Amino acid sequence: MANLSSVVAKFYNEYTVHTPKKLKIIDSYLLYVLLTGIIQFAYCCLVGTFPFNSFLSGFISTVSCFVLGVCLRLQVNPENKAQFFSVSPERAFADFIFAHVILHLVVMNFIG
Amino acid sequence: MRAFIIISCLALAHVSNALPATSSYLTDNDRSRLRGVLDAAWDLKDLATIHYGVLGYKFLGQAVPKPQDVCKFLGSKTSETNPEVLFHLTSSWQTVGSCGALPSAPIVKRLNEVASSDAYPMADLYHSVLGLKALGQRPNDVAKVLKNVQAALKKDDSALSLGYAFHIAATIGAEGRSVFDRIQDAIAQADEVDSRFLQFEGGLSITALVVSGSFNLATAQNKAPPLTHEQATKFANYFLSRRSVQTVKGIYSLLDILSILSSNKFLLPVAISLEGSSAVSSTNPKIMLKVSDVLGKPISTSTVSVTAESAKGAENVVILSKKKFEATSDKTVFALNVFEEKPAPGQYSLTVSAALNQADSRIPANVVTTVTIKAMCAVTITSFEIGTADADQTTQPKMHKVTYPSKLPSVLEADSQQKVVVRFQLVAAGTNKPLTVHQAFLRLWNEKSKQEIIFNAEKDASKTYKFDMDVGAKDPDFGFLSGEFHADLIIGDAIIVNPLMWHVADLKLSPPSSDSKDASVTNHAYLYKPKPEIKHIFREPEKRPAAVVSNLFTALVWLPLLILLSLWAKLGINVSNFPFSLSAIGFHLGLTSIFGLFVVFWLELNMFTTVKYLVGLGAVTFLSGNKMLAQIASRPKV
Repeated sequence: MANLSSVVAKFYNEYTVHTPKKLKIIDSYLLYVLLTGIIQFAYCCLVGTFPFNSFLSGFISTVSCFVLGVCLRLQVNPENKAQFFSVSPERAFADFIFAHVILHLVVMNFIG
Repeated sequence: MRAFIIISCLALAHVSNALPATSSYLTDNDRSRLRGVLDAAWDLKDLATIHYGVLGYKFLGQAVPKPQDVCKFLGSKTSETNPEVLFHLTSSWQTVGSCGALPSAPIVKRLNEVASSDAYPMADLYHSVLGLKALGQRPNDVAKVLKNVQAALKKDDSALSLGYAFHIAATIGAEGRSVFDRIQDAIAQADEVDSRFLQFEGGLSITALVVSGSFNLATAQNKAPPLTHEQATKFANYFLSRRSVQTVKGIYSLLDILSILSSNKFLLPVAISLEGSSAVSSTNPKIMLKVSDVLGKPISTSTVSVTAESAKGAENVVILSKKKFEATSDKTVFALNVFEEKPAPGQYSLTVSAALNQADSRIPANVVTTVTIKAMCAVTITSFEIGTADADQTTQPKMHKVTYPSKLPSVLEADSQQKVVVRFQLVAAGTNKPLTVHQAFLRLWNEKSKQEIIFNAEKDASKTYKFDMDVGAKDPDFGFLSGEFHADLIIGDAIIVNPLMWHVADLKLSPPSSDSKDASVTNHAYLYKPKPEIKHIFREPEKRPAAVVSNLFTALVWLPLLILLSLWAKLGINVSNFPFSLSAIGFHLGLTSIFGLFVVFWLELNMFTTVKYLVGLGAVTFLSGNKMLAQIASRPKV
């Protein structure tokens, strides 16, 4: 148990010290999306799926946002620079925004 | 008319087409019925009716009731001048016989006047001549009467007219010879029906008038009438077929002609008829035949020998030939034990001939007729088995033997998956030959509901009767009733002496399964009943959670946003670095309005208008975003 707490503490320190601020912002966004998705799912499990369309679009929207967020994080992460050489962070952000616009058009259409 | 048809049918059933003998005679039943009809005459209303009633009673050997009243009524008619009335009056007066002396002088004068005048038709000549005869007189001028008759025959030679002429000529006596030759013409006018009957157009009265006139004239001339025996028999057939006549005049005509046909000197039709039942069985083995004249009396003082020529059954099986009938105590009745020939049960046509042992010129040497008889037997049920089996035939049926007349001791149970199976054989009692009957039924009867269903048992090639009742398939016939049913076996046929209804077993049917019932309800008993009304049902709204729960989760969903903002605040987003350039403001405004547009799309717009707006907003956002990001990219990195 002590081991585990020390590992967690070390991990947390590493994260706060070494992760760039931009990535932290994205991470907090991902956490937000993740929590929202969990709450929706919990509602669905506890209360019921009605209205099913709304639940589905909401839940899929959070999952997709998470995926898009992760993609942005991967592309923005300086450590992955080698792999995404041709993709600047700005370009990645523009793609992220564009994908969100399309995603939410579909989500809104589906939400009923 | 209907009675006539029925009698004809009955007669046809008993007699073949070749007809040397008639098949019936005037029985005592017929006599008493005819007497009942004649009783209408004693209302004393109509002279002609009284006349024929008196004559009919005389033929039946009955005394006229209340003759004083009849005489009083007749006495009130003595001053009439109509020859027909006078004829009825004189004839009735004479027949009643107890009315005393009739003041006859004016009547004789009047009748002679009519008979000698050529102004009167044939009917009045007849009435006057026969009226005179009733008074014991002959016409004054016989030659004149005959001349008048010949003249009337020239004008009218119909059967009726000829019939009157024959009677007039017969009354006159020897001088009537010239009319005798007309008999042949008259008989030639008769119509033949079914080659069984001879009759004249106009029915019983006219036919009887002509035939009786012919015989009377022949008697008066002492010459045989130009009739063959076959023709006489056909006339007799016709008269006997009219035994159901309902008019007083018709009854007189019938009785008159039948008495002539049974007592004349020339031709006597012979009646051969079945006496009693046409069925023979072990208890009643004899066929009785009556050989008589048309009034049921012996045809001759001589003995008659009656022979059964042959008896043919189905498929022309001959069971006997040339068997003599035995005489019985009744001189006209002859008996033959047909049953000792051991006939198979069924119908036979028996051809019978009768011959006089002493020749009689009035009767043909040999008369033949055919009667239908039937041989009956008692039926015995052998090897009766009842049981149940699965409807799909997977198992061997479980059969219980039952012997007549006991009942299966246990109650037989069956459900809708099973069928009730019955097997039995019928044999004629005393033999072991299988018998088939017309009616072999199994009746199921519910004591409580009084419901009964009758099923037909079918026989197979080996003449074993079978009956399978699939309980499930028959459910609709039972109205899906379950419960206890009596199973009765019904056996019947015209040729068996002991038709029976045997309570074989009690059957308990368990209720059918509900689905089979539903399926059959739609196509059987309820098919024609009104269907339930169809109402549109809206979809029931889903159950919704309580408002508190929904609101709680709405709040919960917003919570992560707070966490996000707080985290961002903690990380220290430097909003101050926001470049207040046109492109940056345009980009953020554009992006915000796109999401705003999405909200509006969710609430009210459709996809087409949304996309139209989105193109404009998207273009602005894209251009400004592109420019802003380019600026950011070109900034030196921190």
